[in-house]
Amino acid sequence: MVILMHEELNQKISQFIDNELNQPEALSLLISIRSIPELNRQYNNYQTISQALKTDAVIAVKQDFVASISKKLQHEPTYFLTQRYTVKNNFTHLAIAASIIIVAIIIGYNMKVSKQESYTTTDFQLTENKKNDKANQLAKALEGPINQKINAYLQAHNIMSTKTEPLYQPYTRVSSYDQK
Amino acid sequence: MSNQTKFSEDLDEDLVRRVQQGDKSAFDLLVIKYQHKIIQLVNGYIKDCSEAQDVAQEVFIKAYRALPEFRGEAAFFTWLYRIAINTAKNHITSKIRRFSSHHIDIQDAEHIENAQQLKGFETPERHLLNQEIVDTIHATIDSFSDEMRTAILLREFEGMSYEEIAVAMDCPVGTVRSRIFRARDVINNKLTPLLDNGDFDA
Repeated sequence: MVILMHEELNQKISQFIDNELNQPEALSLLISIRSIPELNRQYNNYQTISQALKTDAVIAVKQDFVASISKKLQHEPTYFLTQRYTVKNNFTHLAIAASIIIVAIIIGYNMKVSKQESYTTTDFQLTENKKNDKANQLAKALEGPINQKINAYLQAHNIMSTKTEPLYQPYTRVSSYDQK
Repeated sequence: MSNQTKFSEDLDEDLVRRVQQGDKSAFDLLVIKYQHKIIQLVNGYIKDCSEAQDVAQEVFIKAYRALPEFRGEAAFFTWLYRIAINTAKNHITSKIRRFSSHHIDIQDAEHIENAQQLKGFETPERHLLNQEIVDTIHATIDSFSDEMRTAILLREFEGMSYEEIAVAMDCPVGTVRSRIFRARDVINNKLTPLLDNGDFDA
């Protein structure tokens, strides 16, 4: 079990040297290398082998290299800087802001267009309603009591004046008969 | 940007941010990650291995002091490289000035205590050991199967990613990963006696 764990960690070291470990795994491995001397030795050996293959030169790092630096840094100040936005972050934030603005413009434009359409529809309806009102008023006017003389004249000259057609016919026959 | 570069830069960015926000131990992780590359780079200027490692330590101290000014316009490693090159050059320059200020008779030069440093060469014993290590590595690779040899050489000499090697060798990425690891493991087992017995800490 321990051997398997070692082998798995050694394989991770091999992947890490080739930059084939993602960020969380790499971070976890580095922390392990720092705290486990055996792992640190294995890591140094793999790095030595890798460099020797490329350059035919053997550069073995001193075992206390990291510890020496760490000791010297104890006398250096600890930094507590506010988060500095890198140039990459600036571009990211600008891109997000630009996207939001564009989306807001598009939404706003769409809302404006749909509002205009609803105004047009309403206008049409209003117009139609007005026309209907006028027609209704006219119909009411025609239905109501009409000047009797006008009605009689119109009836005599065979012009439809009212809706009540049946009344018109007998009156004309009677008129014609009287004249005779 | 390749996945490998992205993985590396993401990790650097995270560690730098942690250091800038008070986690000094995160800087140790950056040292672990880049110690070999920086020592190799400095060794290109300063041939003495022990001295090169001392200068490399100085590089990391300078990098820590300059970290508040690091804003991420360049990749962290590029920035660290520049510090390493400048530090190595300054070291050589100051060394030349120091020794040129001594009026030394040529005949007495051999007897000077620091003659070896002036030369900048490793000791004969170290040179022999290094040669043996390199020879052992090459002999071990020659003994590999074709697949294992191809995988490790494509990775180390051509710098190909696992995915690229998988395409080149027409095999799964997992197989590539396993072959490269096995190759390193076998070489490591052969070299352990040499590396453990070598006086690399001198």
